[in-house]
Amino acid sequence: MPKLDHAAVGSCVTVDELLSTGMLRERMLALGLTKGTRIEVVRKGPFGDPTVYNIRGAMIALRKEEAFLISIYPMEEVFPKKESYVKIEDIPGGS
Amino acid sequence: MGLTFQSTQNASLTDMFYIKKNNGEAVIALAGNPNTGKSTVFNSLTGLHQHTGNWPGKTVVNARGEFTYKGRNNILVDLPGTYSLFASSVEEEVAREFLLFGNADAVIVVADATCIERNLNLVIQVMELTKNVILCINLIDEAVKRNIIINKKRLQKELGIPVVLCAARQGIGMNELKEIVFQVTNQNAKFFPVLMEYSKEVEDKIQSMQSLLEPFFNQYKGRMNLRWIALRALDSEPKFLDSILSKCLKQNPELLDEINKIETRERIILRDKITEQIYKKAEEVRNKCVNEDHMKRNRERMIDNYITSKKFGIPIMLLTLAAVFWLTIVGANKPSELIASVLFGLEDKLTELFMNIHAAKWLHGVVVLGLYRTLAWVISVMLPPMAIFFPLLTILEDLGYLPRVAFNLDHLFKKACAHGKQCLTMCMGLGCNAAGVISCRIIDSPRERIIAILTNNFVPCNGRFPTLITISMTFFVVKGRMGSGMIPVLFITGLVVIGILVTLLVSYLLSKTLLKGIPSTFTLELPPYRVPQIGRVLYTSMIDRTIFVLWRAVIIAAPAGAITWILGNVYIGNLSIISYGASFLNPIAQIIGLDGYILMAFILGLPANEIVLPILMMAYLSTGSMVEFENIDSLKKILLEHGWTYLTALNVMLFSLLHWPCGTTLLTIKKESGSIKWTALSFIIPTAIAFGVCFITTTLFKAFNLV
Repeated sequence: MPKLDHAAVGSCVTVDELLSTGMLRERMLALGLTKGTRIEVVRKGPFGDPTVYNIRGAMIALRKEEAFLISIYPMEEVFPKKESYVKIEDIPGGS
Repeated sequence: MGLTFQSTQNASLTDMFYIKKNNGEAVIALAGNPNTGKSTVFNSLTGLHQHTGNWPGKTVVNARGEFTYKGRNNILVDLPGTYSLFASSVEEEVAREFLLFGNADAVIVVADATCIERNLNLVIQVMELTKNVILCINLIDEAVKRNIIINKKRLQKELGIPVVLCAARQGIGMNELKEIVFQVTNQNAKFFPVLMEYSKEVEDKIQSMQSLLEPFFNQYKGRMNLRWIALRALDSEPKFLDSILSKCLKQNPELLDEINKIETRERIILRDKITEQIYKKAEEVRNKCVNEDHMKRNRERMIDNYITSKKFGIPIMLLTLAAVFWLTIVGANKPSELIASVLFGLEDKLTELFMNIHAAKWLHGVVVLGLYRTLAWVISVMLPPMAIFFPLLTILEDLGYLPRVAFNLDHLFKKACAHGKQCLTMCMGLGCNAAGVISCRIIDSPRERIIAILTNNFVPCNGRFPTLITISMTFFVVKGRMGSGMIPVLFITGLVVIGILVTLLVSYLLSKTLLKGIPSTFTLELPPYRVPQIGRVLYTSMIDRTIFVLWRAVIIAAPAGAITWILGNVYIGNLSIISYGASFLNPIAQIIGLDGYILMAFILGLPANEIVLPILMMAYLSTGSMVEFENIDSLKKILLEHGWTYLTALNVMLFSLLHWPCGTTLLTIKKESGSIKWTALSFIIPTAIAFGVCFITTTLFKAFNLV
């Protein structure tokens, strides 16, 4: 299962499962990272890390280490061809 | 179990969270997600000016205020901003326990109109915990700008609680909110909250847990929310529940044993389910009541394309910093001169008065030359830059720029094993290090918080700016040249950058030695950009700063001035006490390119950094060369007469940037860290670095014969 830190900038993904524990898990749940939540990968910071995600309408920055603890499936597999969910801006080279 | 036992129980339950109220008064709690404008609602309701800013986690200290409506007094308690009531950060604990044990008559949950779904999560959680919840949807003006339409009636129906739409900054909806609070607490309005209902599986578990708990809670009937406690008994770590139960049940091994039987894995799964279902409900409610236009979000993205981009992110940050300093330095110039001429003119009048009443010479010395002159200096040099700098910083905060800075720089802080939010605490430190240290509470993990506390001093506070500005203007500006205002700006910006680098380095070293450990987690919300209310910001923060500076000048600078005068004018043999001290310190000071007087001034300046330069002037002047200090030129003359070189000037600036924190900051560190060890280290580390750096520059200068 891919992890959120691998999702390309501009793509939309769906949360499958949280691998974090303790405080971080609580915080992720509080931010609304529950199973099936759609996340849009918005942008990376000047040094390539952290990354901003659109989580339930809020812009949340997560470091690679945190994003690695969120397993995802790419959006297209779940909700194919639904216009508002496909890539908003396709930035080449963003990995 | 007698009466006393019961009463002690009640005492332990209520001591912290029971707000004293008179007959007819109501206690209202204010809860909400971070950065929803909760503090603005608080201010708008109470008229009390709590400092607000556009970054998450601003309210680190609970604030209390009051407002009267329809002849009834309401006590308003501002709870820390939280995303949820489950987790174990300090803020969430305070908010949760106040709602659970406190005596609030109603709870206003402030929500951000532009991020309803996430905010509803907390609303639903609060509704689960307590009765009389009022939903106050703030920032409705921002929502309108983005074509977000909220159906208030529908929302009211879905949740079963009163909903108020407001824009607290403009005061819109505040009267309605007061009216609703009045109605809810008077119980003449009927509301039927629609409580969260979980899936059958979860509900069954709640049922059986509730019946297990019931016998233990007989005496709290009606006061404690058993359903909520049952939920937490099922889905939280036993430790969590223990901390709650110990506040009302003392020791209860049987019950705890029973609760402990549930396996951790089971708890985690249940918590996931519960959160999922709450968010599902939030989603549903939002879909029914909120109409959003997704295209409007793009404006924000456009701005962020530059502000947080690879190419422009860091340069824009440095330019902004330099621009703020430029505005501060240039803008403060004239007002400073004006205040100085008025205050020093008054000094002559005072001297005349003392002559006329034939006051003793020493009295004139202590009161006029010591106390008054220092007071006048501090006010004229400190007040204008502070009154300009702080509003500018506040505007950047309100805009939402500061979290972006934290975002841009987080990678560097990660490399230094520190927390990105340390940036925010450093920004606060630019104003005042004591405030910066307090703001370190926004960092959850204790390890990174201590790092942030110990290094906050490396950003120069407003008390040190005047020293830095004055010296860079005196020594590095060629008078009359075009753009001469830029030199001090470059120096200050450069010094701040050096401060940031030292911060990163020290953070790194600390986390590799004394504060070993895994770097904690990082989640940072980037709030939407908001247009600051410039007029109001200018007004309130100017008033705030003026009062702050005047107060500090009176209670710290003035007495210190008097003491310094005494030290400089009491002679033992041929030398004044200051001269003794200076000549004692001189050998060490020379090694680091300063002189004994300078080091002495820094030591005497411990109570407040802003008095270092006045003390130094007074010490120099008391040594016989009776030059009156009038302006920059005479300052330069005095300094040159005492053997200052470019190296001295540079080292004074570096020493001022890096040396020990002021007394207020040290006391704050003691309070915040609760440890003598960290407080001592917060003194030793900067001191060692200041000495080290100045020693290196001196050695280099001497090696290359630059002096």
